[in-house]
Amino acid sequence: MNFDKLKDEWDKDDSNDLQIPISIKNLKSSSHPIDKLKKNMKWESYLHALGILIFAAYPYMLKFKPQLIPVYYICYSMFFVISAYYVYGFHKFYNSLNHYETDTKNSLLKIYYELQVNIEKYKSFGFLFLPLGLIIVGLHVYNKLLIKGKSLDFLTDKNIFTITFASVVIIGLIMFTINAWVNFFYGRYVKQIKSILDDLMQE
Amino acid sequence: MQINDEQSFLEYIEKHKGILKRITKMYAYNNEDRQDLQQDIIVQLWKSYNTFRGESKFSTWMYRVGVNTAITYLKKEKRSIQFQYKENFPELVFEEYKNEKDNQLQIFYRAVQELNQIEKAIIFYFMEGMTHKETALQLGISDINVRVRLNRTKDKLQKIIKKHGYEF
Repeated sequence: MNFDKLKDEWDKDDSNDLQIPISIKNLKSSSHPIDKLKKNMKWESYLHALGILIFAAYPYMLKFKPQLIPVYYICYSMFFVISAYYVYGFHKFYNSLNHYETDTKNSLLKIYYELQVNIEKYKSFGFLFLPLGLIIVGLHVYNKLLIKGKSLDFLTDKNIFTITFASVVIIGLIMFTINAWVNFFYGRYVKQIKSILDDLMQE
Repeated sequence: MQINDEQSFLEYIEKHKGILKRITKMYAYNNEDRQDLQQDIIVQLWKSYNTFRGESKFSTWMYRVGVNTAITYLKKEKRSIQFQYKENFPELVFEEYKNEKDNQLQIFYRAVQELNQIEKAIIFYFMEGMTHKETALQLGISDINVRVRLNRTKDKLQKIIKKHGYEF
């Protein structure tokens, strides 16, 4: 194979047919996988945040007894602040540069670790719903007992065991689902980047 | 950014659009993907434009951002699998070449699609006339590593071309 001859053809290959836009406004939004992935994570985090906002109305939707409402809102405010922190983080991640200006190895390393960290953050944001969900269910059960004129003393050991066992199973299932969801939609791309990086690191 | 920045940026891109064209030909194998990739490289170049301080040549900076964008432009696997290891090498996949003269460069571009992302970058920089040292700086690996990989990639390309019934 004569690469010198090929290089001559390469150099002669003109680019006059390539049209460069006359304004940046004429460019469509990026379809680059990393940008798409960031955008999806940002929008999904907004949906999570919306879910947290809907939880604000729960004590009234479920007609909580007045004495339970402050307990609920103390927990809720904690989740609200933590969620705001996460959403802000995802917003920043979406607006961050993709580090393409450094050499390829550093560029891939930065992208890989940034994606990895944010995917883990994204998972933990999903896990954040678990304690909130358990508190809501717990308060809901307690509220039902109060309406019937009962208290937690009425719960038998068997009831407590069943509730604990059911909670562990449900938490396990939700964690598995979140992991599967994230790995399916985001993990594959990170694996591809890792594989390119591994190839580049081989001396 | 100011309008002046945008104008100077677009002028730079216009002047160096050959780089853009050749990168996309290396990393995308149909017109639709090429247009998407061209568009994305320009978007990323514009987003990173504030990191170009004029200390290096615009073309050097453009190579970096362009190739790094292309390397990470990993589309859904089914599209690349559709291309790889086809028995009928070029004709069925590269419709845009059907009416063009089937020259060596076109065969080369087709064969390149069977290389991995890093091999494409190495052969691209070689075709652009970069030395081993310059390629090493762009990729962040050693000169020796570039030399070894380049030789291996050239051999691989030759085998791919031969496998599909061409020789030059």
